[in-house]
Amino acid sequence: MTDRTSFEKALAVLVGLTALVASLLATLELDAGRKGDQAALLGARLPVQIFQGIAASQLRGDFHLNTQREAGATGLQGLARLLSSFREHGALDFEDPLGRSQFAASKRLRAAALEMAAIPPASRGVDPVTTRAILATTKELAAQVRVQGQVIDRANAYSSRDGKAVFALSLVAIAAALLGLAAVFKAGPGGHIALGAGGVALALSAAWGLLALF
Amino acid sequence: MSERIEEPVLDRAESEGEDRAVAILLTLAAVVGIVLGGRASLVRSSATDDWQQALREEIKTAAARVEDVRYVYTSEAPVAFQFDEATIRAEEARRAAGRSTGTTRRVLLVEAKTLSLYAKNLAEGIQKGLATGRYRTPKGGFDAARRLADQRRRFPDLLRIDPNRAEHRGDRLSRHAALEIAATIPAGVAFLLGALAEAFRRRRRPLLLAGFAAVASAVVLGVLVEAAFA
Repeated sequence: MTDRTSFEKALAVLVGLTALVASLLATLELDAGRKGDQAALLGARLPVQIFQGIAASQLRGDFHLNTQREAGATGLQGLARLLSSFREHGALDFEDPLGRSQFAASKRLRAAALEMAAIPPASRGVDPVTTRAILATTKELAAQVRVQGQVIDRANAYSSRDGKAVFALSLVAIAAALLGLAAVFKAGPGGHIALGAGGVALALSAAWGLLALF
Repeated sequence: MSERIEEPVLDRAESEGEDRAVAILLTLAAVVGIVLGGRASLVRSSATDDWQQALREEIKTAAARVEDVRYVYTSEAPVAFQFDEATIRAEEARRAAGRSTGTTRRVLLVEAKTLSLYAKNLAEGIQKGLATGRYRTPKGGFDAARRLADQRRRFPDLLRIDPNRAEHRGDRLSRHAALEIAATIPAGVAFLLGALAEAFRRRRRPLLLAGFAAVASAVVLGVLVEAAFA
């Protein structure tokens, strides 16, 4: 049983290490890639939810605000009519009761408008997501914007890690090719150069992989 | 004499057997690593598909939702509330007429009639049913929330879409892929041990044993991951 030469030993060790580093880098790349994709998805879904909340809550809010304005405007019309008829000293007798009826209508309209705004949408069967959207507050939307910024930062960080892992994997592939070349050339000068270059490429890939973690 | 001859023969046979074992270990480690890596890659691709589906569904449902809200709150509700306003004003004018006499009474009745006619025309101009009892609140307003719920129920298929389901499916597949690819690490270790066994012949046996154990653990891990996510 004869042992191998130092060249063969070095080649075998480097080939084995190449396989191990490749599996470690593949794991790192897939993990970084999936976490980056996951964060990017959330980062893309959140703006849709934010815009939906802004649009839906504003449409509903504007409607309810306008109904109260309408109720107030009717009251102001009635009041203006009362004041005008008072200045005319009873010249137009119907103006006073008309103004009072408008004022009474305004009170009822205001009560109706407030009642309308107070109806919980869920109690009428509006689905939960739509309910959340039409009742979205500025505070909630601002919180969503903050979260969106954070997930985009996370997506960018993982994307950068993914890129480094892919580069490290490319170096591993180069190392494997050079080690294959060394195996063909055997222990001659060409073999030693290929072996050395393969070792350097492998070391660089491992270093790049470690760098990707930080 | 015969013992001297047999020993090298046995050594050579043993050595050849170990050479074969090294070759088998290296091949097994490579095949197991490639199979697990390939499977992880496919599973990750499925996860990405599900995540993209979640985004498409989010956009689709949000567009439909905002359109329903816009339609109810800007096209229907303001007109429905104008109907309420005209109706309430007509009722109050009629009530005031009941308390008046002569010209004042006539003017108030004309005002009430005008407002009622206006309300009637508004009711005819908007979608049937909006001016009826279903959408009236106890105080005579318009129940926009009930109307929105009905509007949303027109397309139950759309209402059933939940982007979170696709996202969670993607999350699960993504975890599956991560564990599957991690199972290639023992296969990588097995390859390293096989390469060391090839280089360092004096320590071949323990290296080979450890190598086969590593490749077996990669297979077991792969099977366990598949079973856990089946």
